[in-house]
Amino acid sequence: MEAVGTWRERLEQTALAPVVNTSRWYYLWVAFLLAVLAWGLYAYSVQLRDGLIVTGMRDRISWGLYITTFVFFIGISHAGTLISAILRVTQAGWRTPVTRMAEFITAVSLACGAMFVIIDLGRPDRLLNVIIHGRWQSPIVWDVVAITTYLTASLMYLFLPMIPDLALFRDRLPGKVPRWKLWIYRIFSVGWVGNNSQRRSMASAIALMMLLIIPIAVSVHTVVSWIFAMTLREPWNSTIFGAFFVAGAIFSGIAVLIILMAVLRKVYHLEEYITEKHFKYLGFLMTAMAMIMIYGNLSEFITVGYKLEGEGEFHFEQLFLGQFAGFYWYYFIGGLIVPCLLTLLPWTRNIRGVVLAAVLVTVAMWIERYFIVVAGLRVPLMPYEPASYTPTWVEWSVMAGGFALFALLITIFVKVFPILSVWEIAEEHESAEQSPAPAPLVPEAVAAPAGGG
Amino acid sequence: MKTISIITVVTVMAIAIAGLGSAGTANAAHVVAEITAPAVLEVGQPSELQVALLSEDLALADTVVTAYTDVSFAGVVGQIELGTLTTDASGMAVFEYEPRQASSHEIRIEFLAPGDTEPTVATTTVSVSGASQLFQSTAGVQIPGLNVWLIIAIVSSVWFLLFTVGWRVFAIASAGPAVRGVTS
Amino acid sequence: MSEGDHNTGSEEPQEAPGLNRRHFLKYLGFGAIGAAPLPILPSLLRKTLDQKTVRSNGAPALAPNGQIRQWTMIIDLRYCDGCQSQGTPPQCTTACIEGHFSPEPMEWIEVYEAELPGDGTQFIPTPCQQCQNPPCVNVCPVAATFSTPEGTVLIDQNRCIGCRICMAACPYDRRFFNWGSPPVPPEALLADYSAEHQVPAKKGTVMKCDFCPDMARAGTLPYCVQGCPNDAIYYGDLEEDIATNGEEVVSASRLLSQNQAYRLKEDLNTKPRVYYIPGHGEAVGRDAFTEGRQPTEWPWIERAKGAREWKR
Repeated sequence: MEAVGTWRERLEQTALAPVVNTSRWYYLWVAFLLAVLAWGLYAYSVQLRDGLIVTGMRDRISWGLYITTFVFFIGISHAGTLISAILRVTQAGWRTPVTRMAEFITAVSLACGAMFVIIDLGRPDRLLNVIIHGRWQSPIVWDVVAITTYLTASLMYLFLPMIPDLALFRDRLPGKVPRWKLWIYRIFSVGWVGNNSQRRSMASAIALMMLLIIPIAVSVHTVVSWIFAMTLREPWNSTIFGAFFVAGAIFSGIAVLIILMAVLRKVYHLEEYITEKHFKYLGFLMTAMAMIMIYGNLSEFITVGYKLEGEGEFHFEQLFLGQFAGFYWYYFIGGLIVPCLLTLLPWTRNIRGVVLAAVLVTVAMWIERYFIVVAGLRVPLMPYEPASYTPTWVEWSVMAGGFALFALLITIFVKVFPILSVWEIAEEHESAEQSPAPAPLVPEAVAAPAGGG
Repeated sequence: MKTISIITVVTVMAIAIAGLGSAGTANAAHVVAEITAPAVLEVGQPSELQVALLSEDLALADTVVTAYTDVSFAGVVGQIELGTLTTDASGMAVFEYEPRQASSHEIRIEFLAPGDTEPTVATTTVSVSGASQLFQSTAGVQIPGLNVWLIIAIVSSVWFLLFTVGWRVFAIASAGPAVRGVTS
Repeated sequence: MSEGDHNTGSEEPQEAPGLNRRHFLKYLGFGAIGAAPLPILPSLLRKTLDQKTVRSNGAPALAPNGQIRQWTMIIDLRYCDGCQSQGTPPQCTTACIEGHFSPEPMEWIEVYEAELPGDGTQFIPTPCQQCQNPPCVNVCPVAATFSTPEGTVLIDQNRCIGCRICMAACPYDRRFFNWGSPPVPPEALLADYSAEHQVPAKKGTVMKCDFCPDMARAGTLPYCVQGCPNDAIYYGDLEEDIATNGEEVVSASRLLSQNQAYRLKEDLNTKPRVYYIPGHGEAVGRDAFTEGRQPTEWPWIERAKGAREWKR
């Protein structure tokens, strides 16, 4: 029992460390992010003043980097769902050290993604019209509803398992951190003392959420794809789009999670909890999604390409040989094939290899969103010369600002909230000590909806 | 093209008949055109306009008759063709006429009587009543139950579940001893 | 699941017999709070924020005896030579630009030159197709673009949020965006805005051919019909089955049927109200191999100050 005590003590110290100690590098990093964000804000102010004329978008290619980034961010938000919900449902015990990070990514990237739709609007001042005059028939309204629901659900899902850890912070940190932080811990730990009644309530709430959040997450990226698939554009007019986007979302979500894991592990010395095993397992999951993506690509392009109906010929030419060929083949080889090899071949199946694969996948998935949006719009509808699109400095700056905001929010989150799910890791550790078989995390979980707090 | 070829054939036939030398072919003055229209014409109701051509009390067969009606639209006054027919053995031509606008319309028929160079014209006035909408653009398939209320029901159910989860947070708070400390 | 059901549940009964039932009713109350905003909040917001109606189209145009007009356009391509014989830019486009002050580079009726089998070309004046199954109206999140009872599609630039999903949805490339402050001549600023003529143009909103419904209601033909020197464009009412090019009046159904009229991308089932009679300007002496037309001009653009122009 002594050993367990010190192990637990060390775990708590590791979880508390980021909140208590702040290095100079942290401030430099935040200053850098703030500078990029400020530059992005300046660029956006230029866009607000002059209109979307300062972007490279025009009538024929009327969506560009902003919508690409929107789809990308909504995609990586699926990290939280997969790791937290699916792994929790399947009671995969190894997930416990990474759940919190995955849920951070979900909440932050959803907020950033939603922001990019607003940035893309010609009249952001009329944003409220979506509520005042919203039409349930419009894919944009489906998106607004689905993303709002998902953001709420993922914030709850982030918050619920954090309650015991916040209570830990509340009890352990007085005198060590500023008062506003303590105030946050006191409020958000909602009087948690860990008695049986509280445990039951939380277990049933988590159980309900993990079942609820999976269909919500699937619906979110499905309706994001329907923004495109509900139009008559040749490359978008596809039944596979919803499933394809969901697979791509989970795929890119795992990749971003692996990158964040590697960074936080290094910065906050989490080597004991986040081990090579986690990278390998997530790498395998990523590879599984990559294979689904490869299958999706084959399925879509072979059924279309065999017949080459309508403008399909033009699209195939530009995608595989022409203007977008570099993007496509980087995506297919560098973003799907190579990452598979990196995680499957034994001599690259290590932290370095998996992180490299994750970086490749992240870049490739952004590029995939880019050519889906831009190449899709480039296919001419009438007898005119195909248009071209070159993003301007404003778009690049706003996008950089968006990524900076994403990193900044994660950085701040890490500084305020526990990055490790202490109680879950401890529970997993204890059950592993007692018996080799993984014990169910929340025994009363299934009875939750009927039980009532 | 089809219409034009029929006209050509008919014209040739008319010439052929004239060429047979049927003596005393009526000139225009002797041809009587009688237009019979239903007493009540309704907007959108297909009706028959009967035209009977009589030449000195004999039916004038195989004569091409064209019917027009006077119209005015967007400040342009003109006439639109109701159709072109050839009279049958009893000198009759029956036009399908579906009036689209209630008011008093002038129906005009024109035909070239055998041996004439100028067409003969006869007119009559019909009165059309009614105001039913005839042209409807329909799009879409209505499937019962598949409408926005279904979306609202699904979204409501999800939010209902989210609120039940939120309620459990209050349950946690009320079960803890520190509840007063939190609220104060 | 109507909001009425929930509202009754939101009153919490104080002396409910069973714990479970009490909690159930509580959840129902929370569900009501969650579900009720969906239909109620928008209508409340509408009431408090919008005193005036946002849609600014007039009452439907009526035929003399009260039937609603069903506007249509029939373009006889046999008479369209892209104004090659005039030596001018297409006059339909020019007339439209002068009438609507549509900002450069918007050609609400754009004369495309399309290839014919055998390498000749034809000119296709293309206004908004006024679909009866309009993809743009279907996807608009705020009903800024809407179908009218006359069968046309309008855009309310006072409501449009500029998301441009309608532009992605339109299969005819007939929607245009005000990317910057639109170039507008001084006289256009005096106009009273209406969705029926879209003057003056508004930054950050979508525009397109509106079929000139305000003029048609008053018995005037659209600018493009008036501008066409060859009388190739007919404007009409399918309800009265009538159409005119400004010179002669014809039966719309007879004109369409007797000349094998077709609609653009008929297989998409968008059901346009714009019909074409096939041809390449042969009726006005154009040879199918004489290519090219004059570029479109915006004659008033010099009088529009302080706006940045853009290309398509």
